[in-house]
Amino acid sequence: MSPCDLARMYLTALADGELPEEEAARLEAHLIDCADCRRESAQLGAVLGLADAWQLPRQFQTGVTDADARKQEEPRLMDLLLTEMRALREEVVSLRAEIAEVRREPRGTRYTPTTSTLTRESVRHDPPSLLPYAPPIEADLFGR
Amino acid sequence: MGQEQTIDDDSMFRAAAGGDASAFAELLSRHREVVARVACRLVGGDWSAAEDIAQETFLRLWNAADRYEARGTLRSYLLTVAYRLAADYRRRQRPTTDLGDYDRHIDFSSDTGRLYETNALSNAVRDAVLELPDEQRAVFILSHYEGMKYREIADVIGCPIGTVASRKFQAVQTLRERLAPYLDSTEGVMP
Repeated sequence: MSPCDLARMYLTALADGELPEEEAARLEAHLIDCADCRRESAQLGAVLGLADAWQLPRQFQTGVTDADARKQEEPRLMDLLLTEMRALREEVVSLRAEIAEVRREPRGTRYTPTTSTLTRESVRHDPPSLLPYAPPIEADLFGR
Repeated sequence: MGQEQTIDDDSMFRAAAGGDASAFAELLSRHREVVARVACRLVGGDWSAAEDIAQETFLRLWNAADRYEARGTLRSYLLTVAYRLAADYRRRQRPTTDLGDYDRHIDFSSDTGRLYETNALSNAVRDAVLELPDEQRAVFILSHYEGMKYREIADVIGCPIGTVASRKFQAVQTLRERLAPYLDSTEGVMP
């Protein structure tokens, strides 16, 4: 085993402050001389830094009480969710208006979507029975 | 200081074992947070399971009051129980459902998207840690996230200190491979 292999095995223990003083000093001296081991040490630091990205739910984080967690986390998440729900509600209202417009069109006239992002094809392929107030399929097929 | 804490905990526990409920409540307030936090990581962030494990850990401490002997710190004892309960929990768990490409509609430029992206990295790290072999995972969690010394980790896991050092080293090497896509190629390079 080369001195570098040996040194790299102890880099984690050095970062954790677990090496005896003398061995830590020897390893640090090696790092000053060896660019490869310095790079290895820095990459080890990067991995450990990345590991910090794993966040626990707020109530499990150090020093955070349940009350803190409720105060700080919920309003932010709730705001974001409410914003999305409002946008979705507007989209639903818009779609309902378009569906109503489609129903009012006389047969044979060409429909062009106006406000919604829903495509003409997707409207056409929706099962009629799923649309609100749609006539029963049987009536459409045989009732004419 | 560590020794003082041991004495305090043991005195407190003797009082609790003698029926002093307030002493037990004090032990709960001292150690419940760390037990729940470690359990939460050991079971992959499932806070509900972690709460159950923490509760069961203290219940077992209470039930073992007359047999408890101070070998290490009370914290080590509690974490050993939590570690074993978490291992049992994970063995009982079924594989998780594959949600496929459920995130393909997420707008990463929005606030929600950025929050999701942060969570995605957090989840990637969590998954990488959870995929570590049991013995490496426990060592990594106790050492990295709780900042525990190898001596105490050895007490919790029940292995020599040298084994703790070697498992930590192996865990970091494995994480480095698994998290490679998230590591900037230029990061960590020193002249």
